[in-house]
Parts: sequence; structure tokens; C-alpha cells
Amino acid sequence: MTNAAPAAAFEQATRRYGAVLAVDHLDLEIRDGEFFTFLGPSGSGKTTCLRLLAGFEQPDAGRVLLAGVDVTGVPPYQRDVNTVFQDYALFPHLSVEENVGYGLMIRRVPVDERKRRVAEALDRVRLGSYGARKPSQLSGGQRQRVAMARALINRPRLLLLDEPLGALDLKLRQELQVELKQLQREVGITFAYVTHDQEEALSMSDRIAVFREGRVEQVGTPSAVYEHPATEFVAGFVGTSNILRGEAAERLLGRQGAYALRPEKIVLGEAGAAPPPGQRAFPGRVVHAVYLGLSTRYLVAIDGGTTLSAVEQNAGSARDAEDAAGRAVTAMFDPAHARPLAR
Amino acid sequence: MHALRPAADWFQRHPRLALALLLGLPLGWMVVVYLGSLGALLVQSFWSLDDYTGQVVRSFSLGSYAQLFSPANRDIVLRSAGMATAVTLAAAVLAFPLAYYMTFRASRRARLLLYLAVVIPLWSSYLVRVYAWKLILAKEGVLSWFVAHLGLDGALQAVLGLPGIGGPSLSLSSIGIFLAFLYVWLPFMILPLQAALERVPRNLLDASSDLGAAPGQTFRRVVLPLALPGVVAGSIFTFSLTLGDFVVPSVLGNSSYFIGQAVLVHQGTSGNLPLAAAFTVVPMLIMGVYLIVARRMGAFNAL
Repeated sequence: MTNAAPAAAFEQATRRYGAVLAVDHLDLEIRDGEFFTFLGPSGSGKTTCLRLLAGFEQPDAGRVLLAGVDVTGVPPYQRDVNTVFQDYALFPHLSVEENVGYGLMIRRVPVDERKRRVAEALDRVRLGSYGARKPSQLSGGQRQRVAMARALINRPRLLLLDEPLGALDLKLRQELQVELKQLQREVGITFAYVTHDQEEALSMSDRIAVFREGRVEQVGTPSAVYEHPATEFVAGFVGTSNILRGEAAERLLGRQGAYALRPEKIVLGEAGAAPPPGQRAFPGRVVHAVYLGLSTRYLVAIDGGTTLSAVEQNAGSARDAEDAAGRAVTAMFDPAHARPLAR
Repeated sequence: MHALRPAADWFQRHPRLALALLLGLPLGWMVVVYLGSLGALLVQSFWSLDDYTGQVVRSFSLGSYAQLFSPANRDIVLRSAGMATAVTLAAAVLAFPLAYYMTFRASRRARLLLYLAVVIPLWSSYLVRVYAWKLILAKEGVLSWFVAHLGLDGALQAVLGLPGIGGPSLSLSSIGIFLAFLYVWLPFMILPLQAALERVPRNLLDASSDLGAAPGQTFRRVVLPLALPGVVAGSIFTFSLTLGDFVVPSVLGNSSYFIGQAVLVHQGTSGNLPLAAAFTVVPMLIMGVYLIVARRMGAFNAL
């Protein structure tokens, strides 16, 4: 797998909409067989990247490659990729079966084989008995699965997914995240996945590219992106971070430059508590506490100026968040957890 | 507090009465004026005319319908229906590319300009426009001058020589009637068609292309089926407007009658209201059958 051509690649790809640079001289490789996620806020260019891969958009400059072949200028219907659209884009005048079999019908696959493969594909997404229905008679989650089946039945080299779970409620989304990941392992197809949901990106991806204003801020595995954010933007967009720079960095870390420190790396002890070896301790006062069920988020004003955000798991009996404000505490952390930021 | 607040509260507590007040006028208008006159028409079509006294006999009779099948009247019906079919087909063929371009390709500005170009002719008098066509199509008119300058005079003469649709000049032939009908009713095909295409989500076109369909296949498999309700709506307009019109065939063409003229003559000149009513039932029957067939063929599945 290492010496195979990347499933997809951008080479200095640029796409403009009027004066706006949606994708700005992008260089990126998606490896064969991986679950690759484009993560970023809306307008960061991640969906445009997907549309460049699908062929709905063409780059104004640069190249797009699929499996090592330059496909710049090749229309969507001649590309070996399929897309799961954000709002599914199921054909309303066709039945579920006809929707799923559309790609095979277009490619003139014989009727017998088509029927067999449509039935297989519907079984795989657990919609075996829904073939005769119209998309309008399905729930959101069912439509999503029809869209998956319609794309996967064509056995593309690369499957593009544009916020495929965005329209679903939280519970269903979490279920389908697991299902999607399993499906990807089963079929062994490269997934290129667009989302603005950092949790989704972290839980499903092999690698994540974090986008901002048409550029990639960082590419890496979920833990690399989370534990070692390269920039302040990544530190703030993927999870939350305390950004320490200038005087605060010098005082709390004894170092120059800018650093990101995750709230969960900070332990709050009683006032005057001694830090474990290798950790630093700063006295402070809780300004605000938010009870989140699983955890409680504290805003702690460190004596002398900086305010830190700290998160504690509510293991054991949680201290009452409402009474926490004003409490004197000691904020303790290992300075090694403060990660240097590029900018 | 607002002055109308008590009234609003009262309506909130009496939703049925509010609904009755809201729908009373339009519904009354619909029932009395539309359905009432339609019913009166239907009833009158089953009366008959006493040949000697010229009085309408108010008892049930299928006489008027039998008269429709006399050779002369049957010709009128067939001529009108044939013309309406031809106009509708031509309008659909002309309107589709334009509506498609307006919806999917044109810039906002171009779309607005095209929209105005389609609608503006409707602002001027229909009579004036039909008479304008008489001048355009006349023997010494603009069109024959243009055709002559293109050196296509022979072709025009050949077309005019065709039996059935030809004539001494364009303005005196069925072709002239066809052109004028096509011109006056085309907007009524373009507008519903454009509205139907507007409702086709763009990402369905992307999805079709993504699944390997070339543009032609996407058009046939996705755009056309989804636009079909618009075509049906437009064809109802062009078909029934053509069937009912008496102005165009009296200004243009030879003296052979269309349904509209037959109705006019029977109820005006000869006072044969039952036959006139029977004539008007014909387009309604045709449209009814057409809609049933369209529904059977799945034209409204996308609605």
C-alpha cells in the first residue's frame, strides 16, 4: 500500500469564485485505502476540494490527480469516483431500487446482475425491504443509507462524502459514524470525508486535514492533530485550547513564543496543594464553572493575570459546579503538554 | 397594546369562523362563477333547438352531440384539435431549450432579460399582435420579402402548395394560423416549464453526472421526468387556449372554421346555444382525457 499511487492528489490546485480564493495553491495527497477527512469551518474550502475531486468544479490553476492520473478537465461522469451528497440528492421520481441501480443502469449492466447487486447493496445498508419505496417515504437516516448504497454499488476507487451526517440528529449521527467506519473497513474503499464537526473527524478518520480560508493548516492522524496542533487556529478549532503567548507563556511556562495547552491537561487541586514532580502549580480562583454532565469546565483566573480553562471529569462525586465560583484553587500541569504553535 | 389585538384573540379562539371568513369570498366566487357557469353550460348542451321555431327546447336530448358528428362539424373539431396539438408540440419544443437555458445556464441578469422578453409581449393588446401577424405574413409582407431576399421563394411556394395546410399566401393559410398561435401562446408554455425546471434541485444533476451519466442521459433520465408536470401545465394552456380561440382563425387563414368561431356563430348568429355548448364541451373532454393519460404515464410522479 505504501508504494501505490495516492488515491487522490492536489498539486498547487487553485479555485476562485470571483475575488474569493476558495482553494489556494493546495498540495495534498489522499493515500490509498484511508479514511481521509477535510475538516474546517464553513467557507474554508473543504467542500470545494471535494467538488474538485468529483469533477463538478475544475481548478483555475494546478492539477487534480486520481490514482496517479491527471484528471484535470475530465467531467464527473468519466471519473471513477462517487459522491454521497450532503442532502443525499436522491432522485425523487425514482424508487429506492432505481436510485441505487442508477449508476449500473447508466453503464448498461445487464438487468439480472443489476437486480442482484441492488438487492445486495440494499441488504448491506439494512434496507432490503424498502426497494419499492420512493425517497420521500423514507426517514432521514434511511435516505442517508440509500445515498451510501447508490454510491458504493458502483465500486468506486474513491468515495466522496460531503457532510453526509450533517442533517441527522445527534444520536443517529453517532450510530451512523460507527456504521460508516465499519463499512469503510469492509469495502476497503478510500473515503474522502468533509465535515465541520471536529468530534466526527477525530472519531472516524485515519488522517485529517484542517482547512482555513482555502489552505491546509495541518495534516495528520487524529491524535497528532489533537495533541500537537500546529497553529493557533487548529488548537482552537479541533477541541479547545488555552493559548499562552508573550508574558503569559514566560510566566506560566518559562518559555518564549506561543503555546497551546489543552484544558484537560490542567488539574485543579485545593488551594496550596503541592504539584506532582515535574508539574508546575499556580494559585488562582474559579471565575465560572459549567457543569457538562460527563465533565465540568472551569474558568480559572491565575493570580497575576492569565485566565485558564480547565476541564475535570466528573468521576466520583462531582463538586457542585454552582458553588465553585470564587473558590481558591491550584492549577497544576506538566509544561511538556504545552505545545509550541507555528503562528 | 395593538388596537386589533382583541379581534385577533377572538379569531384565535374561533379558528373555523376565521377560516370561513378567509375562504368565503374566493370559494364562493369559484363555486358560483366557475362551477356554476360550467354546470349551466353542461346542462344547456343537453337541450336542443327547435328547427322550425328557432326556440331552445328545454328537455333532455343528445341532439346537439349528434350534430357534432355531422361531417362539417366533425371537420371543425378535428381541424381545431389538430391545430391545438401542433401548436402545443411546437411550443414545447421551442420552450424547452429556452426555459432550460434560463434556469440552468443564464446569469441572473440574462435570466431577468429573457424573462422580460417572454412576458413583455403579453402587456400589449392581443388583437394588435394578431393583426400585426397578418401584415407580417401577407403576400407583400415582411416575411415574404425576407424569404425572397434569401432566394428561398421557391421553397415558400412549395410549402404553400401543400394540400391541407397551404394557401395563396402565408396569411391566408393554416401555416399562418399556426405561426400566429405559436407566437401568442408560447409564453404560456415557457413560464410553467421554467417554474418546473426551477424546482429541480441542481445537485440532482451533479448526482446523475457523478453516477456516470453524460449530459444527454442526465437530461433524459432526470431533467425531463422532473420537468414533465411543467410541460403538462404549459400544454394545458397552449392546447385549451388554441382550441377556444376565435380571433386568430378569423383574422388569418381561409374561411374554414375552428371551434371558437363555431361557438361564436352558433350562439350569436343562429341562436343555437345547445350546439355552442356542446362544442365547448369538446375541449373540456379532450383536456380531461389528456390529464388522465398524463397521470397514468407518471407525469405527476415527481410532484
